[in-house]
Amino acid sequence: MVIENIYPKIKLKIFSDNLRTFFFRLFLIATTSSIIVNICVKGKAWSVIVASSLYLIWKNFISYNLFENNLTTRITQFLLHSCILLFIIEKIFKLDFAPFVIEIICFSLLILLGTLFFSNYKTEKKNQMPLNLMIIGTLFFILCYFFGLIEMSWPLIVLISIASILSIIGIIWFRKIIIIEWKKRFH
Amino acid sequence: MRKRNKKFMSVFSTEEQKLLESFFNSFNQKVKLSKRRKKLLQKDFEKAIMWYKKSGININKSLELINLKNIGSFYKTESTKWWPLDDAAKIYPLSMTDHHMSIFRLSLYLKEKIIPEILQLALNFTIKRFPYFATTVKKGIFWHYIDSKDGVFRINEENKIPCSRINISKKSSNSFRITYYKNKISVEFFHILTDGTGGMIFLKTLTAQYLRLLGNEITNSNGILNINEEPKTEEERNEFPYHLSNKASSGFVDKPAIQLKGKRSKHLPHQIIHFNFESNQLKNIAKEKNSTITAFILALIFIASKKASIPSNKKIQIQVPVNMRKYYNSTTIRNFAMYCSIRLDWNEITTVDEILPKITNQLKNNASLNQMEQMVNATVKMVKYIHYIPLFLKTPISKIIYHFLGDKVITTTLSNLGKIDIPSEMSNHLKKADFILGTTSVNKVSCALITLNNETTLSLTKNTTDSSFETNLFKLIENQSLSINLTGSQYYGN
Repeated sequence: MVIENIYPKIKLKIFSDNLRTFFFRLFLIATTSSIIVNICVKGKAWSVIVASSLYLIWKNFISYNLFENNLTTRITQFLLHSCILLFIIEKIFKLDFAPFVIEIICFSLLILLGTLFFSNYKTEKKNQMPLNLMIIGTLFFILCYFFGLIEMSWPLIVLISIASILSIIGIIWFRKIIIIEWKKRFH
Repeated sequence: MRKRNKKFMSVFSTEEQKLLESFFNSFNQKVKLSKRRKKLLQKDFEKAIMWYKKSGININKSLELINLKNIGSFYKTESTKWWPLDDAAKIYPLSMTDHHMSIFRLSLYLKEKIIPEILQLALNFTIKRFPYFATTVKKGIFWHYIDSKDGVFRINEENKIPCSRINISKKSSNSFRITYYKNKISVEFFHILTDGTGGMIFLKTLTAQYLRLLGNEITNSNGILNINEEPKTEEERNEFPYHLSNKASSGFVDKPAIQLKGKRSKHLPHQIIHFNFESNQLKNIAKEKNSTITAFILALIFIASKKASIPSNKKIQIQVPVNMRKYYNSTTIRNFAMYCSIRLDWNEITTVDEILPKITNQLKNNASLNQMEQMVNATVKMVKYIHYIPLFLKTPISKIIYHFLGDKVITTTLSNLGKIDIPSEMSNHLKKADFILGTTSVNKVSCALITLNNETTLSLTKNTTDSSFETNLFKLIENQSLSINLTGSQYYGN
């Protein structure tokens, strides 16, 4: 059975595939062993921090999103993952810094997403969901404040102010495109 | 005229330069893209004009061939259109992983070597007739969707494994890929966009436009769309909800099937193999046996599968996609295919003559309109039931369901696109076609059949290093006194 080759010779990109597999296995071993060691030595659940940190590295630097893996979504994803990690650290070690830092991260992210949107409106208008969701996410902080879960602080005031300004600008000038985009996303 | 054009213009006489200046002035009026994209598009025209000049075609003739009316207003106005996925396409992004993506490839082999400059221009002209393909995939809250995108679409020389992943994650990513190699034009589609029939309409229209740009007269008939005509709404229609019936819903749940032996290759596909037959000879043999080409090839695949598998109580099940356009008068270029399964017990598979009546009978019953209607009902209902489950929940659940109900319930697939209908003036320029299915997560081989002119090509997408399937298939074909020649690719994996 002789097969005549009618296809071009292809050089395979084995290195990147192998590297991802290597890291996946390494992270899996590291997570499993840290959980085992944590259970053996008892004490605080620090292995959750190890697992979350490795997940953050995997998801943001090694793996990639199958859809809409652009600058806006990647920055948003990374910063939100960092917020979750901070929250976990605070809960495990019973510290009291997370809400303050998370609020700073969130308003910085809002400024960044707002700047990206307004500076490159033509292409970013179809990519406005992270900004919209971050603005809606601010409501979560307001609710937390009303239920006494967080205290009033200057980062919270800045966060609410920026979210309000962006919402007002959006409603006044970009109402139409926001509605179109939401129709697509919620169809 | 921009400064960097000087080098391009310098090769033309003063008279020719005047004509070109006027041409590019019109171009500037017709194209409102970003600077970078506009430059890319302009370069495409310049390269084509240079090729015409080198080929001895005078400037008037070349400007007539690349008439700017062919770009219409596609590059001038921003498209705001978007489309929900059709009911059959909804599973493809949900079941997609880092390693698996449902892709298929269609290729047409011309008699002459492909001229990339002309093919690129043909694509620039053709794409406007297929706005549904000039899109990118986005992620909604409940479903993925297709969003229009502005920009230019590129052809590339083939430099990737056939049906390899298409990166659809970037802002301006396409869901299809157009490549050329020697005398072959290939188009690879993410199944989310279209099925084989829709893909072939696009490839035929593109190739016809390419041949026109080389000075040939090709009519807009036999499934070739007029590129300067407005796209029709029915071509972009999700047909499934329009064909709901009162019949029961069924057709998805099945028992696990026998899988062929052999280690899965590290890189998929492991190899592509084409069995090239003479159509008339194949047709006559099938006729002698009172069957169709599909049933005859299925019989050969069943026997080869038996020989390439370990005895089991399970069945060998071959999935056969069914083009729903043959039942309904539809001109959609989106997915409109369902499928049926042909099942035989391992012990039941003996000789071609003995199993052919069983296969023919199953094909007749399982691919009947009644069965297909039940499957359409099941598809539409399932989409309706899970509509409001958010994607972040739907995706992992779908992946698990797909794992059990997807590739595991079939041994292999045979997709027959049939005889490709082309105008006679176009067939003189074409040699043959091939149709390649993408890799699957479980099955070791997938088969696809296509006929053009008097050549039928059975293409195997191999996912295993084990060669017993194709070796047995080859022996079976030889035993049937069919003359074949084999073409294919290198081993991509190990």
